[in-house]
Amino acid sequence: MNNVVLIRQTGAFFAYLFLQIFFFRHLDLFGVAFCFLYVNFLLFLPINTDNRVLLFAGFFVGFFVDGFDNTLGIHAFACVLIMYFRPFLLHFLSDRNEVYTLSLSENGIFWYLQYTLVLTFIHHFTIFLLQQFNITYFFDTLLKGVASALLTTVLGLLIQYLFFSPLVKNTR
Amino acid sequence: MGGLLYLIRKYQLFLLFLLLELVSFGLLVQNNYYQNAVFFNSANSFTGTILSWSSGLREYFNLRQINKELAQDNVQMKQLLARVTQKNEQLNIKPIQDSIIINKYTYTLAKVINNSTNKINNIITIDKGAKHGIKKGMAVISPTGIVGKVIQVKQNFSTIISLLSSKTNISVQIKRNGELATLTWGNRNPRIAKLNDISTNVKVQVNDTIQTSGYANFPPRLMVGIVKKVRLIPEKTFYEIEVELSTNLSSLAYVYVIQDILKLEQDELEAETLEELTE
Repeated sequence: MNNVVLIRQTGAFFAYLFLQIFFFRHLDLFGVAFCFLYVNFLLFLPINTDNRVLLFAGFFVGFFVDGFDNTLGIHAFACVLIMYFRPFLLHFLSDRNEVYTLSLSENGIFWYLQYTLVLTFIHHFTIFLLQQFNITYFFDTLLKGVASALLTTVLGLLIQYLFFSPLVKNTR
Repeated sequence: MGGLLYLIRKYQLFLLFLLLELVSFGLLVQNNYYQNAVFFNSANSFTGTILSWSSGLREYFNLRQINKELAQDNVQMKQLLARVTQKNEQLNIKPIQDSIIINKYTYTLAKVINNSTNKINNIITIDKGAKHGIKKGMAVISPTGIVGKVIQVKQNFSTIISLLSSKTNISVQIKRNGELATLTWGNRNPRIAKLNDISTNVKVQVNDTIQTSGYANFPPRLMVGIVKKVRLIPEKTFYEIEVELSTNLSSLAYVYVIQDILKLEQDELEAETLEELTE
């Protein structure tokens, strides 16, 4: 069982990073919306993953993306940050309804949007803030953060519906 | 001691979090201030190879545009060559015999494999490195104008700090009257740069051509851009001038790296002079 999870996650890791480096990195809507879809890999690591593993995974994935973007440290910082917040947010969100898996089909769209939007926004906003490295264009950075988080979430949702929809699950 | 261990165990997750964040932040700061110390970036052989696949894929979609630009460049070169030969014949100029002056600039063609225009300091990666004679500090131009300066060289790849950087500071001149100025980037629009240090007693007009002065790393009289907006700020003795760059840096495909073989000698001479003066 454990091996299956490991293989699946490794596959997801390469798929997300491939998409990020070859395609989503070049996406730029009106200079305000950028896409860092690879965060979905981190957001949807299995729910029972050890918290320390989450932090290391965040660092490693961020470091990898940084290498291609010439932004050493920025993505790593943002990823570790959201990986630290992830268990807290999941705990907070599951107060109302128990969460056993992180799938869209089982938790509903509302839960999905809450979970992804919050973490994606924190991640993207941190990245833009660190890129800017000063506070002068704060509202511009905020706008970028919101627009990009929306873009990433919408694209992520599309991917969820395309590849992880209940339809696919039933046929398997 | 036991208490300390207990505390560490209790907050181990938070401490790990802090540690990883500190490492990331350290990398970030190091990357920002000491460009040379970078060990994992886009000029690395691993990232470089993957990026060149990625650019190869994207290149297919831009072939038409690339073709057009190169053909235009070719026409311009032919025209220039014809004009120079014609002029020399008419004036019966004796050609310069010193081959070192004739061959002062050598050009190396390189393919852009990674590029960005939406950051504060934009970096371009090319597929030529130390193996092909690229050295730090060389000027980089495209068929349509200047592009930037080589900042880091690895075996097979190099990185260029593009014009679109907060550190850009290039000596340029107005073609019409030869007036000198420095070019910086306003960190917003990838097509617009700023001209500084032009005092108000100089006449600057919209549509004036801006070219390199030859005092920086770039050879003289290379196209930089065209003046788009001239604004005089009251109480200041300088203009605020916006220049539309002639190169669209967001769609770069091929660039030329220029080696100035006399540059080393010039640098040495200038350094010696400076030493002499300070003594």
